[in-house]
Amino acid sequence: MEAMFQGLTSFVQPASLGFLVIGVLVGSVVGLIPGLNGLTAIALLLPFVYGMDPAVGLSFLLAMHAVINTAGAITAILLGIPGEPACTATVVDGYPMTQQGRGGEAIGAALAASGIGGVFGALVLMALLPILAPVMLYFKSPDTLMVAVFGISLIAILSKGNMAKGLLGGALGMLIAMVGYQQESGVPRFWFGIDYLLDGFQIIPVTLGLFAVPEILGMGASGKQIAFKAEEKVDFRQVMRGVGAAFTHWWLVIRSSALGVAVGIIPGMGGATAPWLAYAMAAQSSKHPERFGKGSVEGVMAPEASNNSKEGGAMVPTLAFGIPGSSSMAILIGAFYLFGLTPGPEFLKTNMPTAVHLTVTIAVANVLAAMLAIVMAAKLTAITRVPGRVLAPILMVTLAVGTYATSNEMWDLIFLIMFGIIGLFMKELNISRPAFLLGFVLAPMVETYLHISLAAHGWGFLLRPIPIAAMLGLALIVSRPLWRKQKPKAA
Amino acid sequence: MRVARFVFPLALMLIALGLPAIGKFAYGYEPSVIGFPLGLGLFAAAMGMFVLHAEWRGKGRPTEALADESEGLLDNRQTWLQFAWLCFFVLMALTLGFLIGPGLAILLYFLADRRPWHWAILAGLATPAAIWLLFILILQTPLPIRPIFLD
Repeated sequence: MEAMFQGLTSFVQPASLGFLVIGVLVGSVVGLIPGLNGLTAIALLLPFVYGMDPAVGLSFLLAMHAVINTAGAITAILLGIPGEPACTATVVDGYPMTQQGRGGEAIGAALAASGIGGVFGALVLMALLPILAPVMLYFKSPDTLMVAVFGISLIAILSKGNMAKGLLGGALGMLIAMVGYQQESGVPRFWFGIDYLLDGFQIIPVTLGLFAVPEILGMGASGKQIAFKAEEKVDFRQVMRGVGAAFTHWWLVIRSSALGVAVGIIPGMGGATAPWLAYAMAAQSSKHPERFGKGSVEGVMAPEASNNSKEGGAMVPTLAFGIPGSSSMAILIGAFYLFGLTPGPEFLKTNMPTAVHLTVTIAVANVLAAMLAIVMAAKLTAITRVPGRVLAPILMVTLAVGTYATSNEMWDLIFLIMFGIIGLFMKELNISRPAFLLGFVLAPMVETYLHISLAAHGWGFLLRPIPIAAMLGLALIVSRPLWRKQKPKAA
Repeated sequence: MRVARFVFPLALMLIALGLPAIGKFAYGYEPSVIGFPLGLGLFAAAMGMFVLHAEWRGKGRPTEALADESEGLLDNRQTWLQFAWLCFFVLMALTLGFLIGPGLAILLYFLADRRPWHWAILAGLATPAAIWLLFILILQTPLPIRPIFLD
């Protein structure tokens, strides 16, 4: 209790609050620009926090990082271009809503769900801080492996078109991720003498190429404004209707947030996993699954809630064990060391007030970002009424500069174009791009944990409870269409 | 578009099988190195066969309700024109720097699209200003701004 009081007292200091607001504003700008991600932003701003009070400096970085996905959802919904790779799931239903003239509703729903998810993640983090160790230590390599395989398979199976196309997309994404050094042996694979490929393809050009480039090309080709199917005026009332939807579907938002936290806790699962799993879960449990992919507000809320809640989850292994829950947390750990702090079990014993301060920061930053964006949302949707051939070149420039700015590599731009072509064909031929992306993100981890699991347990690793549950879950989902067809016959 | 429905999955299958084959026979990767990619490649190729079979039987297309997904972009000449513009934008940025390159590219795009010339010039000037303000001043991103022939 004393630690909580100290943490809260430290949080309400003017410097802390001031930098929290600045962090939220910076994070919102970064999130809006496709190509710039939380990882880059934290790395770029690390030198600026040197010399600050540790709690204030960490708070600033965390506030910025916590709201990036919130802002990224806005471009995902309005333009079909995910501001962050983790916002890709939001595009699937958010962009069709914009095309139908319901962009305001989508944004309102996304922002409200993000805010709730972020607060949920922070509350869970606060509750878990004292009891983290046994929760973390239960998960072994086979369990993480099967959760990842389950996630990729689920997205592939639920993709539109047919299941084979989804699985083809997922398998290809995993294969493309094999380019570069193998983690176990250090042997470089399929790099063809190009030094850039030793580290494999990078997430930004792959994501933006697959999802953003086809949309921009379509925009420029048609010349139409994005909201060409709009039947009603987008105004603040529409935005608030979306906000209301997040409270109407409160159980979906809470479930998605819980899933986000659970996935975020598992180190290495990747930021892209949680929103897709939440989306798949929402599609499976919805009373109207046929609406998913065509502008279902549930399809926007589920990934957004989990997107923000996973940050609270990712803080769990970061603070408790010094194991980064995500790649952004790895940079944040660097910030900890900059301030002379070492995250881990000892950190929680000696710096609990700082941990509480950071937890409250995540919650407040999410609420603040959501409120700021909701106020501006109706105005932001004006962009959907800009003619396609005015917007397309602006987005081309933003895409090119944002992609290059990530690591100043010419190859990023070349592969952006290459994956853009692949994404265009995949979109037009209904081969699942989400499955491709998820496979790409998770493949290195799947391969590593497969090797470890086989070495430690042999094929017996499949007999652990979580792998069995994952396989049963997949079998259930795959067979569901079959016993749905059976039902009318039985009647 | 019709041809692409067969050619693209075939191309993907070629990649799926070709990469592990190159790894095994050209680079001589050990089984522990090539095993996982080989498994993925075989699985992807198998799925590609199912896709081709479905396309051949006309079942690969989305159902009526999902028909909006395909916008006919592949058959649209404008799509490839826009793609050429995207390549042009990238080339301009890499050769003339990330201030002049994008500015000039936008100016030329708007002129080619028959926008009023004063709007084109305004956009051409506003673009480098926006890039400088956002990326270089605020985000402190070290973008190359000099043309490569001046380096």
